[in-house]
Amino acid sequence: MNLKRTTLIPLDDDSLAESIFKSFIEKEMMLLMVIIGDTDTIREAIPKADNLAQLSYFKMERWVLWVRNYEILSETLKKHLKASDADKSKEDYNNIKCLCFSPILDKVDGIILKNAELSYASLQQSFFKAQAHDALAVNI
Amino acid sequence: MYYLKRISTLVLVCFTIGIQAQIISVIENDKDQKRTISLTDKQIVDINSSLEIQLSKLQLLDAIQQQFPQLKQHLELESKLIKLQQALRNQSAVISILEKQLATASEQATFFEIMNGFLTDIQNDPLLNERYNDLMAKFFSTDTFAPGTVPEPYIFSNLNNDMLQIEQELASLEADIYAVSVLAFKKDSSGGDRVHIQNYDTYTNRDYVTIKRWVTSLSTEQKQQLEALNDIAKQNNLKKTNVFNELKIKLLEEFKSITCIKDFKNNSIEFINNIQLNDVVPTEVKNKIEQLNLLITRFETLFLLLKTDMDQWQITLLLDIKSEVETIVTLLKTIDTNFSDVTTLINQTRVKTKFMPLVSEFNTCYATINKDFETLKQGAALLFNLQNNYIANKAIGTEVLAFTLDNLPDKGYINLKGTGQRKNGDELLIELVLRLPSAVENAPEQVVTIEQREFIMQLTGPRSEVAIGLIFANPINKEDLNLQNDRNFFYTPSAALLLKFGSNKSHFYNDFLDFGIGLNFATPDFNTDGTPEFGTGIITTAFKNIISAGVNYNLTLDSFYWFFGVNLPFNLPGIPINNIKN
Repeated sequence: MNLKRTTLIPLDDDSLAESIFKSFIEKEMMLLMVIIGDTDTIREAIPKADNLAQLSYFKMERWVLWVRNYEILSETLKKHLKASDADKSKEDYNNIKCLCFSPILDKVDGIILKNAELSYASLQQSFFKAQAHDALAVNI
Repeated sequence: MYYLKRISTLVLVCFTIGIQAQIISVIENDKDQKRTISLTDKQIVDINSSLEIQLSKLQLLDAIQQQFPQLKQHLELESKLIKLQQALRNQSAVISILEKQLATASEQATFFEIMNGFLTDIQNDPLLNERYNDLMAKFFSTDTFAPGTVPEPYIFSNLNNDMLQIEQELASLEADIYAVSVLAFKKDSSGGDRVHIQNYDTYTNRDYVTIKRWVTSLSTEQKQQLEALNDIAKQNNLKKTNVFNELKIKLLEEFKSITCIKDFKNNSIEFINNIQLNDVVPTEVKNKIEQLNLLITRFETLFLLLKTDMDQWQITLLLDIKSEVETIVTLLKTIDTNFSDVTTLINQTRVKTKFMPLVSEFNTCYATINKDFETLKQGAALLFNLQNNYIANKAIGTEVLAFTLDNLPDKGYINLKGTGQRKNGDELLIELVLRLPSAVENAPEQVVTIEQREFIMQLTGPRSEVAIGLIFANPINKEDLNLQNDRNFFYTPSAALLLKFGSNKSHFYNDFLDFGIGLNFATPDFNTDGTPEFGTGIITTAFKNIISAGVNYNLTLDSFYWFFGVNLPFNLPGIPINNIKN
C-alpha cells in the first residue's frame, strides 16, 4: 500500500499516538479524516481515502489518520464526539468507522457508521461535511 | 404475540406501500403559510389558496413499471436518465464556484451543500455509485491524475456523456411510446369545470374570484355583476351550440350531389336489365355489373344513414359521423375501381356504345360526390374542434400538455382564485394520467389514471356569514310586560351576523357541526299591537344554522327574552318554519 497522505497511528504506544494525533489536529487549515479498524473493507477504503486526501478545495489540506483498533485514542476521540453536534455523533463509538475533523474549529462531522459503505462517494462526502462545518468561518 | 407481530408487520408494509404510492404531493400556500397535505391529512384546502403540485418522478416510474411491465426497457433507461438529471441538476453552479480563484464563504457553503446533495444521490443508486467509484479510480490512476486538480469536472463530463448516450438509446426505441399528463377539475353542484395548472396545461384561468371572508350582505352591484355574468355564460353556451348548428346545416345544404347517384343507379339497373337478355354480353361482364349494382345499393343505404345521422347530429357524437364518412369514402373508391373494370370489359363487347352515356354520367357524378365529401371532411374537422372545446371537462383537450418522464416539470401551480365561482364544499380533483397511443389506427388514445387526489375547498379560518330565519322568542319577565297573549313563545323573524370557523382538519366539523356565534337582530311583536318591536342580542348556531339559540334585548319594551330557532332545510306541513337563507 503506497500511501501518500495517510499516517498510521501506532498501536503499542498510547502517548506517541496521542502526540501524533495532537500534532495533526493542531495544524490549521487541515481536514483530518480518522478511519478506525483494520478489516478487509477498511484496507480497501484506505487507498481511496488517501487518494481523496490529495485533493484540496478552497486551499484546505487533507490528511488521513488510520487508527487500526478501537482502543487506541478512544478516549480522545470519544471526547471530540461528545462535543460534536453532527449527525450520528451520539452513536456508540464502537459503531463508527470513519469521522472527519473540520479544518479550523476541529469539530467532528461526516461520521460514517460500520454498517455503511466506505466508497469514494461516502468518503468524499465525509470530507465535504467537515469542511462545510467551517465554511462560514472562512474570512473571504 | 406471534399474531401481533404479523399484524404490525402487515400494517407497516401497507403503510409503506401507501407512502410509496404517493406520486402527487400537494402544498397549500395560504397567506404565505405553506402546508403539505399528506394522504393521511384531511383533504381540505382553503378556497382562496394557491396550490403547489409536486410530482415524484421516481415514484411515477415505479407505478408505471408495476402497471405496464411491457414498458420495462424504456422505463429503465428513463429511470437512469432521471437519476442522472437529478444528480447533475446543479453541476454548472459547482463548476462555476470551482473556477473562481477566491470563492466567498457563502459560495463555499453553496458548493458544499450542492456536493452533499450530489453525493447523496450518487450513494442512493447502486449503479451510479459504482459508476462514480470507477470514474474516481480512473481519475486517480497515475496516468491521468495531476496534483492540484479536482475530479468534479471529469466526473460531470463523463456523467453528461452517459446521459447523452441514454438519450440516444431512448431515441432509437419506438417514439412516443407513452406520455404523462396532469389534469385538474372542479366539481360542484352544477357539474364541473376544468382547472388550469400552470406548467401542465395551456388553459386560461376562469374568472378571477376571491371568496370573501367577511360578508355582511350581498350588495346590489354584486347582484348585478352576478346576473351579468350569468347572462354572459348563457350567451356563450348558446353561441357555442349555434355555431355547431350553423355549420351542420351548411354542410347538409352543400351536400346535394347525392341525387346524381340515385339517377345513375336507376340508369345502371335499366342497363343491366337490358343486357341480361343479351347473349352477346359475356357472363363475366354481367356478373361484374351486378356486383357494381350491389355496391351502389350499399352506398345509397350508407349515405341515407349518414344523412339521417347528420340531421340528428349531436355535438357530443362526432366520432360516429367521422367513421361513417370514412366508410363511405372507401366504398366510393371501390365503386370507382369496379366501374373501371366494368368499362374495360364492356369496351370489348358490342354494347360499348350503349354503355358510353352511363360512363360519362358516372364520371361526372363521382367527381361531384368526391368534391362534396372533401367539403364534408373539412367541415367536420371544424366541428371536431368545437367538440373538443365543448367536452373539455371529460376528454383531454389539446391544451393539456403531454410529457415524457425526462421533460415532465417537477412542479405545477393552481391558483384557486382563478377557477371562477365556487363555494364551500366544492371539490377539486387532480389526476395524473398515462396516455398510451391506441394500437388501432384513428382510435382514441388509451388514458390510464395513475394517481388521483381529491380535495374539498373550504373557506378555512374565521369568516362571517349572514343568516335569516325564524326564531321562537320567550320573554324572560313575562309578568312584568303585562302581555295580553298567554303564549310562551312568539314567532319572530330574525337576521344574524355570524362569525364562523372553517376547519382544514375536519370534514365532520365543516359539513355537520359548523358552529357560529354572532349578533342577532329580530322584530318580535310581544304586545301583539301589529307594530314590530326591535330586539338585538347574542346568537349561537350549530349544524349549518339549523339550530340556533340566544338571548336578545327587546329595545322597544325594555326587556330580555331568550330564543331558539329550528330552521329545517325542508318545509313541514302546518309549521311556519322557513328554509335557511344565507
